[in-house]
Amino acid sequence: MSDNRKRPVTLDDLLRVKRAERPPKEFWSEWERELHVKQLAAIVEERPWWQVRVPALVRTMARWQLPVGAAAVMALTFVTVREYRGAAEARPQVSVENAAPVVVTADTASALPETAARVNPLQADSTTVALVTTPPVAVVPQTSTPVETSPSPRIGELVPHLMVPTLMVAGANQLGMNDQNQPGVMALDRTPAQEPLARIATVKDARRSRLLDSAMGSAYAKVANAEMTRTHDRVASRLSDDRFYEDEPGRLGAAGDRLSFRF
Amino acid sequence: MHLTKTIAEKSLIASPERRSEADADWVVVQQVQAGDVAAFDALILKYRERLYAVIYNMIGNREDAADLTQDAFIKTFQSIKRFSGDAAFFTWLYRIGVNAALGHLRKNRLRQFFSLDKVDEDNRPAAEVIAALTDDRGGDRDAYVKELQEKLNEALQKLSIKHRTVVTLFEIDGLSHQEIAEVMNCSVGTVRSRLHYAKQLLQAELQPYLR
Repeated sequence: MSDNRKRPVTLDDLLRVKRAERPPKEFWSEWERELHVKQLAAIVEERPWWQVRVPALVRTMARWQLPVGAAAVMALTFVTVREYRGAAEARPQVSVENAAPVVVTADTASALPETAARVNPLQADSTTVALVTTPPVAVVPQTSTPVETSPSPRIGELVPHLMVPTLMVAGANQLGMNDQNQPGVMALDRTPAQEPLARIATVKDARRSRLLDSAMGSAYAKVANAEMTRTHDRVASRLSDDRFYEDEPGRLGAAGDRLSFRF
Repeated sequence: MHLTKTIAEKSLIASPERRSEADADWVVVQQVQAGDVAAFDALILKYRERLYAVIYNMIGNREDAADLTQDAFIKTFQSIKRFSGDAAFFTWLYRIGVNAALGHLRKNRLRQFFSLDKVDEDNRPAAEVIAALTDDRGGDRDAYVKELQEKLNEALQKLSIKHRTVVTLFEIDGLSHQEIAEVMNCSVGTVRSRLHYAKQLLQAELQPYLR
């Protein structure tokens, strides 16, 4: 007793106590029984195929890691290069390098109706031109000295400005509206723009005023016509405002450190 | 001339006992691989208490430790055909068990319940230490032993998982630095460093019980 009391206790001694923590003997019989039940369950229970096949495949492939990896990299490189070339060849030929400026006079523009535009004579408004993809064509007035256009650095800016006048010229030539001495673009300005609502409303209003005129006399017709004209003007003005804002991204804008509202 | 090397020659197993043990295990493993399933019971009987002790001291819960030990043996049995004998069987088994314990600890990081086994009083070194600590305590000896157990467990749980694993494998199961390095897949220097640091922390934590 007195020896034990004097005995120093170290960390190793305390860890010996920890090591002596053991379950009783009967614990192991129960443990063994549970283990056999679990073992049987594990044998009976069919493991999913990916738990069996995938590790086996990985083990098999582990021997050929380097050659398979190298082959995979080569194949990926080959496919990528091939895809890139295919995409480059399939790309449309309209590019800054390929799009040489074409000088078209009003004479030559009249020879382009088939390729440049298809215009329905019945819908011969300035707004109804069917667009087709054509190379950018510049239209210049016919003069004695040829005017050369220099290629623009950005084709995206060039195409919309050049294509629409060309198409308009082509459509106008088909309709015989273009004058030989005038530039093609100016020829289209002769057709006045007409509001669509005004065209639609005219027939109905005429019928209505005819009926009321016969019933109530000519006084109503005058008043009604004046009222109708004012209404048409208001609607036309409203539509024009809407069109003006149509091209804008929105009435709310932000640029730099500013926030703008448009009313 | 022997073309096939024994387990001990291939792996760096320190003690001669461990070498002969590893060679004997390899023979049994080959029997199991050949289809003698009952031979696996010999391996279970041989290692169940040691593996249980490692897992129990890592997680501090006897029920969970029992479950994890069973799972480790089942997993070992299921994948025993993959065991090629490059390392000792017990190293492989310990690695499976330690990984199971680590996975359990990570999964239940936020809720831990401790349930401790009783100290085996028949174990002489442990009985001597307990006697030295409780000689003048009289009637509350059992309570003191229980408190000591809880403090020991608490101090172990304060260590990081890696440090706790090293301490458990070295102090509780008596594995060499080289074997621990194989089980934990790290260098021997790392094992030594972790062991040193973990012992310093334990020393500080258990200072009231040292004299």
